[in-house]
Amino acid sequence: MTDDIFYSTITELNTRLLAREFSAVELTQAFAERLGALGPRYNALALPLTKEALKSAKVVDADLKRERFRGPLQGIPFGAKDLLSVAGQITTWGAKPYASQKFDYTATALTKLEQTGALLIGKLAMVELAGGGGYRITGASYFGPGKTPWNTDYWSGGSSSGSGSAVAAGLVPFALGSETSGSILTPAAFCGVTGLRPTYGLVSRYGAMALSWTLDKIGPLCRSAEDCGHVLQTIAGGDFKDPGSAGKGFYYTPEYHREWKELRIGYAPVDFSDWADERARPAFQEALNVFRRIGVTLVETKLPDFPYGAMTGTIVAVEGASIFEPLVASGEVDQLADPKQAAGFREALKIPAKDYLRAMRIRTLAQQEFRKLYSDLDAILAPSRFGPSSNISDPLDGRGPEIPKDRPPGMTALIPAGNLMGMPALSLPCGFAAGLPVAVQLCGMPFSENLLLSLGKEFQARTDWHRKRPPVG
Amino acid sequence: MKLTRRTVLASALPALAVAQTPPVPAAPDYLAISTAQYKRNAEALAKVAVPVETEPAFHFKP
Repeated sequence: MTDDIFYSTITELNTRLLAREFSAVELTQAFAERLGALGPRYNALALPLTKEALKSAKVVDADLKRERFRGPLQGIPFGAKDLLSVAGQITTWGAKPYASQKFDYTATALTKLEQTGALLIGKLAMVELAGGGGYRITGASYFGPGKTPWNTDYWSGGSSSGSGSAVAAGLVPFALGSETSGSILTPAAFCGVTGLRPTYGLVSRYGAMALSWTLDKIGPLCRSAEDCGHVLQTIAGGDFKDPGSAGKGFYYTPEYHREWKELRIGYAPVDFSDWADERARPAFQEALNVFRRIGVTLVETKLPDFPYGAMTGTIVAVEGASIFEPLVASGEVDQLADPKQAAGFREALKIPAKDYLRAMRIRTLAQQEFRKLYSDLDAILAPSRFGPSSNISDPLDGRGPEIPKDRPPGMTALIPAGNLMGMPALSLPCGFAAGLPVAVQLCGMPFSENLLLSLGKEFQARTDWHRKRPPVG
Repeated sequence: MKLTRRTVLASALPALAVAQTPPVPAAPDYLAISTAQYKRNAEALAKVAVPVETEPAFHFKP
């Protein structure tokens, strides 16, 4: 096997597995060794699960020998954010107070992957408690600051930090992450991989750490939009164990996309001319041009005017503080690596119910306005993050562009807005700024994943940013 | 007790060391920072007019 396998897509690996170029055991061994050797370099590895994966790989090889095919993920190794439980294994949620925590059940998303023959080779590092207390340092993790493989002085993004860097460095072909407000899109953008935040309720959260019952989503970080489609098809579906489950499945059908010329994609020119980091503007402009060449109609638009940041901040703070109230009461919250997080959880317990309910009622108003907005649009295109990653020693308070009150904000609030509305989003690598990856996102109506993935696949057929390899060595 | 230059210097060293140590910046008051953030959030939410019939969003179906 050559190094090429570490940067192959799921489809490519599956083709070679079926052609018997290598066995599932050999593939698993190769990725597990690489994850064990290089994972610590990026603070990406939480827990290796090599022994268990190799045992399952033998079963996959036996199935393949008997021509029992279970789909494109059969025999493909992968990693999962350490907020997903695996029965009998340590699940830290990235936080010292939970360093020895074990559950006796496995997360539904992982069970579904296991049933299709995918092989979990390790749990991946994350920001402690998914950053729910409001983290201000990159080192807010039991595993240390996540580092992007493009330059280890720079942050991988969070909170699915290990999922982003492990896929980027070719340590796993794909990984599961989670998003409450930006935790898939940010590491996908900063690590140069393709990330999909599914519609709220499409993927079961059973067995995942809860931070915000009304915002949490589980989704994949992969090498391509097509790979995201394959993984989503496997992990999506109704689950009575998840009260937020939409009871819907997902079938990846990129071949049935609508004519590109029929599609209307909203964007805000000010994002590309003013709010994006100057170093990233050429890459974002070129991404816009690629979509023009695809043939979609780009339509100037703006988000309905709501205080999205304040809404998300209030909802995550209150729901998270309720979930982690025992941690605060025990005093163990002070073991978190970032004291700002401990303070955030403590103070959030004092937020009045009227503020939380006001945020949730405004959320209803915003949903109504988004329905109107999308009656004329199929998706919104914007930078995933408005610039490249920051140095790991920089504080995180000042993330994002400063928008003067008299200027149009463009799509700078699309991450909190999209999460509040339960909308799916796909992050696509689109170039580099200062040697670090940057990306654009497509955000669509709930359950429009096939549309986003089809567009993403077409974008990636015309570009090769998703194929770039970091200097891993 | 006879005072030599050495004993005088030795007694002064701790004070010199303290004098040369840069002042330690006070740790940020994270509780106050969080409280202020939540207050700003509440103020931003208070500016939105919410019709009396509006129920909280608990379902996210299309």
